Amino acid sequence: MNSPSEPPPDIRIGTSGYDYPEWKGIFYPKALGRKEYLGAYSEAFGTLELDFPYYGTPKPGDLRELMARARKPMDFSIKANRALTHKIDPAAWKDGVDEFAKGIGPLHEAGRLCAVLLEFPSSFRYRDDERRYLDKALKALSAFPLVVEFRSAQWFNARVIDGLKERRVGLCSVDLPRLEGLPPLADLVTSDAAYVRFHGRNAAAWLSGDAGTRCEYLYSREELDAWVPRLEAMSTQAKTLRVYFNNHRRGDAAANARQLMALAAAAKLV
Amino acid sequence: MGSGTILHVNAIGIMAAIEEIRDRSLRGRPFVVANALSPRAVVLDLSPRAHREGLRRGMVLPVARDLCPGVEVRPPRPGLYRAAEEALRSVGLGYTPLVERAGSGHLFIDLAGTRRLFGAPEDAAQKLRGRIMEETGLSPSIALSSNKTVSKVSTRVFRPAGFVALSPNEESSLVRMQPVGLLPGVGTALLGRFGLLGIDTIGDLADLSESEARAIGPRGPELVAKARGIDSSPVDPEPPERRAVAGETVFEPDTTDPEVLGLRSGAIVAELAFALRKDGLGARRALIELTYTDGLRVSGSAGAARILARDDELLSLALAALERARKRRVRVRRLELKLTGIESAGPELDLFEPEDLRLSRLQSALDRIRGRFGFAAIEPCSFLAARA
Repeated sequence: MNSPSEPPPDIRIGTSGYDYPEWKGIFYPKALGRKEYLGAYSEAFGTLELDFPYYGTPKPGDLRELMARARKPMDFSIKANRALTHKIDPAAWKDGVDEFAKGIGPLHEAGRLCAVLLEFPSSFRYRDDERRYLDKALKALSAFPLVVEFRSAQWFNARVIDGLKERRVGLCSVDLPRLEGLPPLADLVTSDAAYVRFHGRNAAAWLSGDAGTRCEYLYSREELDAWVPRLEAMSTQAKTLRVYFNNHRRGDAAANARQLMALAAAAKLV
Repeated sequence: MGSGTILHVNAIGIMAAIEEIRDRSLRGRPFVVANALSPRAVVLDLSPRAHREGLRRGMVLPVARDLCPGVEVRPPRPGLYRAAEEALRSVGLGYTPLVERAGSGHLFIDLAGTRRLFGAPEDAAQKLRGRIMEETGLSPSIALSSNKTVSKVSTRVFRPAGFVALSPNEESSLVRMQPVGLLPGVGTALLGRFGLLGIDTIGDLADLSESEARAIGPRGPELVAKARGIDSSPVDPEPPERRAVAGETVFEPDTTDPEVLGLRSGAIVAELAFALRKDGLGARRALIELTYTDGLRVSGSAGAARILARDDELLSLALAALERARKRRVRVRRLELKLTGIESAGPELDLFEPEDLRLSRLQSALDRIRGRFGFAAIEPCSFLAARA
């Protein structure tokens, strides 16, 4: 929690992923080469959530190259590999942790790693096996600043919250369609790192299970405006606050991130 | 799925929070609010850091100092805390007249019917919290649901400074998962019994049958209904001082002496009854809660068939309640007396002149003196002795 000698909370807003050719002509200039995307991104946003490590374990060289491509200072959050969250193999996940840790090492050593996000699917419920696994996984990754995102409402209980506070692990606040079984509208800062993800409110697409269109949604100004006091309250409890938009279709994420930055600036949050 | 409209604002630790706001150098440090000059001072409130160090409210100050050497002690400033409570309520009243004071730092606010003015309940709740932060610097936990019990359980889960908005579909599943100790009405004694019965979560309690619920005690069925998320009590904007009047005393040093307990009860009764009579009111019921040195709380109550207004009548009621609460041979640290069932006392119409006319006249004479010169102008010698 903040103390008087500490600087004000570091609040940054960005997107989940940046390497989207469909953003060309919308967010990136039409003539921009793909290798220049990150440089252009860094001029607009001070933080980026990298989602490619979710699909494949990153190599140390990949992240060194990424850092070099940023034209302006920025930090990164990393979505943990799916072998640690969605496709957990009881026999092999520990090896996966070692490989993952090695891969993100350069970012961490450079002081540019904001958080490792463990996004658990809705099938990851509050049951004994899952609770034991979560405890082990958080211990195995404890060298890094950690944030967990649950998609099952069952995890929103006092025992889990106390456990996260004890382990100094952040609880991700999510903006999702309001559907039964999904997490409720809720914010709680459980570590020095507050973290928010916007997935869009496309309830029909969410239910259809189509990963491509699930996050197809453009937030309205009013919807984003309602988040400003939430961010303000969270910022009083945390040292860092990172906000990422995952509604990346058609560049909506970048447009909404810019809008929210303007609203936060008007409220003197950033 | 829309959220419910009953908002609970939970600014627990309001004394410590206000001290921090007034002195920013306290932030992040372990400190307590306590009257250090008192021989057996107790911790009235504490900072989150002091809580992490193992300190608790109600702990005797020397014990707190042993547990956390170097803990800073700030004297209580009741005027400041009252002003902050009033500011909280005043912000709520800017949104709706349905604002209920529910204890120190707690408010229930019914946002039904405010959508056209302030947007969806979850947005209105955020705006309201923003105003509280602006006006007081406090950052309370807030929760929205369809009833007071679910909202209160939720702010106890999402704290400090958390937010949750539940739709009716989400309420039961969220509440069921929480530890049973978070259900309003479950105190230390009941929690111990639930532990023996294997009732760990609110869901365990909710699953009890009617007969099992009755076996818990007279309030068992009510608790089980709450555990099921059923609570039809409305947000009551009537000031609590009209629904009940209460006073408390902390024994320093703590005591087992029945005479001291009785005299202190008498002093509280006199003050409360005087305030009631000034408004032409009386009370029908007395409730006493004793907090023992070991932290256990036991309460007892007594009722009357008619509205009582005189000191001696209300004192008899209070002493009957005290007798029911005093079941242990352990020293008592705190006594809280509540008079409830408050209604207009009205002139009683007797067919014959009442036998206790003399007492009524004495009471009227005392009230006239107190009304003119203040409550402390005249009081029985025994009260002076009790305070000494």
